[in-house]
Amino acid sequence: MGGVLTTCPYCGCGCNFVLQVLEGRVVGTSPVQGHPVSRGSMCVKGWNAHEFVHAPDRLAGPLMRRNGSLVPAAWDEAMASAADGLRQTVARHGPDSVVFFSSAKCTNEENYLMMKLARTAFGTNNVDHCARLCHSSSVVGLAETFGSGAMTNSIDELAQARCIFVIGSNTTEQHPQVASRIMASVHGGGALIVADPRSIRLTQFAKIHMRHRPGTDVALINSMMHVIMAEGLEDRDFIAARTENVDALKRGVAAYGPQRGQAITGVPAEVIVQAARMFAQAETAAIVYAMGITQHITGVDNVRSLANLSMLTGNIGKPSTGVNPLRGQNNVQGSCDMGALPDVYTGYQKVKDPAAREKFARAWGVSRLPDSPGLTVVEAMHAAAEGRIKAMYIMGENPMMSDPELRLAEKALQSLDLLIVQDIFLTETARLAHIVLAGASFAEKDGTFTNTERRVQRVRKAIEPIGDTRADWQILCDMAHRCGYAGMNYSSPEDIFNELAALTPTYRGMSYPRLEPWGLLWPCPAADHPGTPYLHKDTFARGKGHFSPVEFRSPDEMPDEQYDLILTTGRIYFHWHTGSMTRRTSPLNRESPVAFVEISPEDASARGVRSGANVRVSTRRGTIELVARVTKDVAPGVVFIPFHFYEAAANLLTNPALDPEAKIPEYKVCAARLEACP
Amino acid sequence: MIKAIATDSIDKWLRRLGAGAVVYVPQERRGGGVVLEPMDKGKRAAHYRRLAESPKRIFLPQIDDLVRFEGSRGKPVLDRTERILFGLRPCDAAAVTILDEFFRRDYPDPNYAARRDHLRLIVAACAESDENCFCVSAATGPVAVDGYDVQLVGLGDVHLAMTGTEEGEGMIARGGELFTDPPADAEERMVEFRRKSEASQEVHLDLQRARKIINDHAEPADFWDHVAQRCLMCGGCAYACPTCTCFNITDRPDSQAQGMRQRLWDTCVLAGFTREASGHNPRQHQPQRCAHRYLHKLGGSGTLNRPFRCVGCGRCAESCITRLGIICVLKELLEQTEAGR
Repeated sequence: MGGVLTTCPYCGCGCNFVLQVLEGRVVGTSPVQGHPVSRGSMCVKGWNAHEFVHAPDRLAGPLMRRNGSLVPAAWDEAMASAADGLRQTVARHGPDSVVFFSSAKCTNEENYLMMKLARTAFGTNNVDHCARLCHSSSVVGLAETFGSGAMTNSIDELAQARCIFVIGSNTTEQHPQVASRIMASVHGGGALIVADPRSIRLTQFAKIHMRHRPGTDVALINSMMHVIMAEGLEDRDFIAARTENVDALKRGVAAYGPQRGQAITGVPAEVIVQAARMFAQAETAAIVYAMGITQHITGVDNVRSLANLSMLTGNIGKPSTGVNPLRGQNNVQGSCDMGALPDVYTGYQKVKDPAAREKFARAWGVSRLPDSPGLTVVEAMHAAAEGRIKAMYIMGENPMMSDPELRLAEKALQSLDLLIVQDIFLTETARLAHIVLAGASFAEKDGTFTNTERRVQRVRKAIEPIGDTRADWQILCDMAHRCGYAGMNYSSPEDIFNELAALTPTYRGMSYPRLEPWGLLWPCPAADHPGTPYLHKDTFARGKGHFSPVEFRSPDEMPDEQYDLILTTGRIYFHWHTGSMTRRTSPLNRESPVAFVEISPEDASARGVRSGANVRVSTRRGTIELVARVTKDVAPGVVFIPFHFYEAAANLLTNPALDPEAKIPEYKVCAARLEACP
Repeated sequence: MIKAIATDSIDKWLRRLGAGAVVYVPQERRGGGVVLEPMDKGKRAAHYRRLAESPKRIFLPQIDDLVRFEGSRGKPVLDRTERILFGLRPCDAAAVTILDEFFRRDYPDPNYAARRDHLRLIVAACAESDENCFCVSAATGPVAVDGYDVQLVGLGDVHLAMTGTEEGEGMIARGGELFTDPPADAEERMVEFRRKSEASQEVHLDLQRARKIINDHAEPADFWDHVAQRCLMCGGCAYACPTCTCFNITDRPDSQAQGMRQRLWDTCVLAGFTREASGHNPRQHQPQRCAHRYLHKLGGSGTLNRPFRCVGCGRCAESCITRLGIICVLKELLEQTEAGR
């Protein structure tokens, strides 16, 4: 038995643990005491993070489609075929006929390589990844207001906050380490305010639970700010010294008195007033949010509203405060930082900026780089369905489960001339591929992940890639070489990291030796810089904080006579995203083996549905059958479906309407109908 | 039998023992803490308090191959590697006796027995408690009463060596000239060792009273609800516990007709652990599961040879994601309950 210290592959908390290795297999995980986030503990997913690595149906090597079926192929043939196909597509249809999906599951080094590959070897900015589907609204909204789209404070600071406002985050289920700090804050006398359409575990600890209607976040927050300004509870010194445009905010929220807030959100006016006072009067107040804020057509507006609230009360730029988007995946922060996005290079340097293009072109040894932003994840699917995209290279993403309106995604992927999927399992997406490249799991490679608090930390190889699989960074380097780009030769992930750090101001001071033992929080601009636990201390990244008033807009699709319920989607504790890892982990899948829909007792009895019964849920886009779970945790008029289950994929139902700026789909609200199965 | 060995001769003795077995010794682990690893993997840590993780995973791995099956035929996977664990603490040695009882009493478990029959334990008595240790309350330490083949007590330049089994005497014999008669003042120095070690322990829990409360159902009515509210079902208390034995069985086919039957660590805090095929679950609700865990550790009739199934290592206090753990729970239980005062 030997142990290898590494970083958990599940959520953005970024726990570290020791992978137990026995005769070339990972057979267990055990916690480590010193890590600043995990402190000797893990959630149940972490304790079981080793099992899927050796799942019997792990891809053992590359596959190619012959006579309609995917059959094993040699690496050389699969790679040559993939590279030829990509090159021919570009030759025939131009660089922007190809799309690259990078992966928030993969390392920083691999994300850097994927976007470098797209931009150098193929000359396109068509590179994006599933951050589009979770926190693109945070990146846009916080960049505009603060100048930096990441969690402003670090996880451990939350334990000392005197007030925490959790909105749209089921923190105990999705970010247990963050939840433990929130519970510690409450234990120490801190006030907890929860805004969530569902009753969640944290509501049991909350002084106030505002159960607003899905999609009414802007109205709720505007109303709180109205109260704060009407009662003179704003932090005038902070506003004067650090911000601009407060008058516009004042005008913007004037029409959102608590009575109007109640009318729109369903939260009693006096509760809104109470919450506003509690937040504004606390010595330190932190905002914590997740997908409940971002996955709306008003996702960016929701984020702006939270930024406004924090600046209005001076709760930013100091410990235990801030606006804290909780990133859902192990490396979704990092894959954004690495510029696996259609409009930016690493560290959010814009492709539109000639100086940035020049800098990267020189570093990468190419004469020019494309200057117009590429397509986002959902836009790319639409473009493929319309025949404008001819080839896709998808690494470690499963859009056939994660995209909204899956029928459209399926049509899009099936219409491609060439679909290359690189993954560790034959996912729903990989099943549609022409070429499948077998990647390595987190246990089989070196690299770095960046957690939700901007902590860049090491991932360490515990075992060799299993079977005939290869580390993703090696596959990408090989692909670049075969596609005629000579600038991707690296001896190790560390080699890649050194290159990307030199090009990224926020990572510049980092190196593998400096990441020992527990990583560094960016920005870390110099080799002697200690890293930055909380952002915007004396000045915002953009200079002055900018108040951006927003008007409430209703969700894209609201209930009507035909589809009379609001469907909202999300995740549960025992599973993770599209289930490709957790559903192959026996203790986790045993805990939650079947797809279900949560429905209120009122709505259930009106439809003659008992708990455990099979029901059919339909929207304008599709129908699924699953088991009803009757619970008061959802309000009447709302049903909740987790999106982990391929056999009843929630995203067959969801609405692909996008936020106009961030292009994030509105997963959290659509109109649905529920009936008992005949 | 009590012998003595010079402290700087211990490695020499271990090398002799290593001729016929894999010897695990305490080693510093990257990421903090000291754990048992094979001697050839690194340097033996001389100073450590409690081991960071229970040594049970060496002979009861988190995922364990039980039976290789082909069609309807199965072949048990029996691991008979000779192993010697050196430097485990008295709490962990006591835990092994509890594991033994579970796996060997009514239905002897062949996979466990194969490893256990070839496992020797050399306990190092604790000179100093860790932050969450309460072995004195649990009556398992700081000097072991049972569960060891050999127990060493460090008295500076010399270690006393006590044997608990015939195999232990054989291990001392293999040390040959390294072992001498104990110094004349050994007994007084042992008493002093124990006194100082016990004095270093900061956590004291009246486990007898806790046990009575639990057996009598004398907890405040909503006590387990309040515990369950803070339990995020991470399973850390059970996974880190040296005496937890819950497991699940799963088959991992590598083709339709063949594969491996495996045992995985499991935990009673998860609802699926007791969910029946019909869907009925005798411990459907989380407070029931939390209460059950404490009943199992402290209540009932104990095990054959000791009153509690908790050995006082305190690991569950550290592995709990919300810092609940047995110390916090029992302190609340004892404070909030009048019974037995």
